[in-house]
Amino acid sequence: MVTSFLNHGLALIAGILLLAAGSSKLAAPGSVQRTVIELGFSRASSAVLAAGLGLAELAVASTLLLNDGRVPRLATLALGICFAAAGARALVLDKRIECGCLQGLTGSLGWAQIAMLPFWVAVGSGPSRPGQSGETSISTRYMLFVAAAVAVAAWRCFFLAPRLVAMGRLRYSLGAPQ
Amino acid sequence: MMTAAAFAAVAALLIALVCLAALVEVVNTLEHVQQTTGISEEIVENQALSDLLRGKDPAAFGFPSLHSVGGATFYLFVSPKCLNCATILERLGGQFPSHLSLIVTNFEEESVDGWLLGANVPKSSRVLDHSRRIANQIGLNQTPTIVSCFNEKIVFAASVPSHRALMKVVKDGYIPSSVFEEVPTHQE
Repeated sequence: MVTSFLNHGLALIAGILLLAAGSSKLAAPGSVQRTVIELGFSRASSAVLAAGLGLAELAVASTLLLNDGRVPRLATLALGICFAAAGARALVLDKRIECGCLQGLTGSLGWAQIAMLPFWVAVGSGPSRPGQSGETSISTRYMLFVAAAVAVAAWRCFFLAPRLVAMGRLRYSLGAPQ
Repeated sequence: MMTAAAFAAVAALLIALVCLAALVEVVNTLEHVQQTTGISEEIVENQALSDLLRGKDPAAFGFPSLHSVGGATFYLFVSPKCLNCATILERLGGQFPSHLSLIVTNFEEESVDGWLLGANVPKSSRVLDHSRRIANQIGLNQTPTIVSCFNEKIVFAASVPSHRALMKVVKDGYIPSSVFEEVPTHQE
């Protein structure tokens, strides 16, 4: 029971992180492209990598939450290893590389991505389809997915609300009609 | 197995998340533009001007006499060379409160009439500061600036970067907090 709860919890947290990161990357691919280029990839491949990474994160998050099988768990682990490798690469290059991971919220690439590796390993090595099976399991998975999406949306709205108010002030100061 | 409806719902949720993230990005970009261009509507007290004028009679500097509302009168310094001033006047649309007077300064004599006509400023609501006589006397070098008076004594001078900021001062009686910090405490 506890193990099942823990596994659901880990999958939910990983899903939230990947949904937030993936949607950010697709919404603002420019900042991710800059990060990819600074890590040593060519300018030509950066656009594909940025978009591909964003899509991969969304796909892995969705399948992890909706169909908690062995493949999504291993894919999550693979993404975590990629993040840690990017952090290690930034440390090796001894450069401050801005991470476009969560729209700049996570600062620069480095130790933070490496420190997250045990979490991704825990998610990746956890038992797939823990505890339950059949219809109950499917409804639980949908609830997990919706909960993760709502958490990401709420987090965005929390940051968006004060900025929208500030944007209203900007509109007035530019002389737009009230 | 996922049904088609469930798949569509999941896809819609994912698209909504990306759209929300894009909105955050747009707002962040606007915020960056605002910071870079310095556009704001903050009413900032002109400390040097306030210190020079505080407690003095506005008539002593050539300010026109005005009907007060609740003891308050306001003088707005504008210039045809100031884009913000034009925006504020456009928003006023010729509707000047009776306790607000416009002092037009730093202008070219040959073009000021056309500018005033275009800005829809009634003659009764404005004074022309020829050769920057008033501005030079008080050391004013920034427009739009508002000088706020109470009971025929000047209280403070501040920049008003927008029509909304102007109305905040003139109609709502807003006073920058820095004014209160400067009021000397008299100890007997």
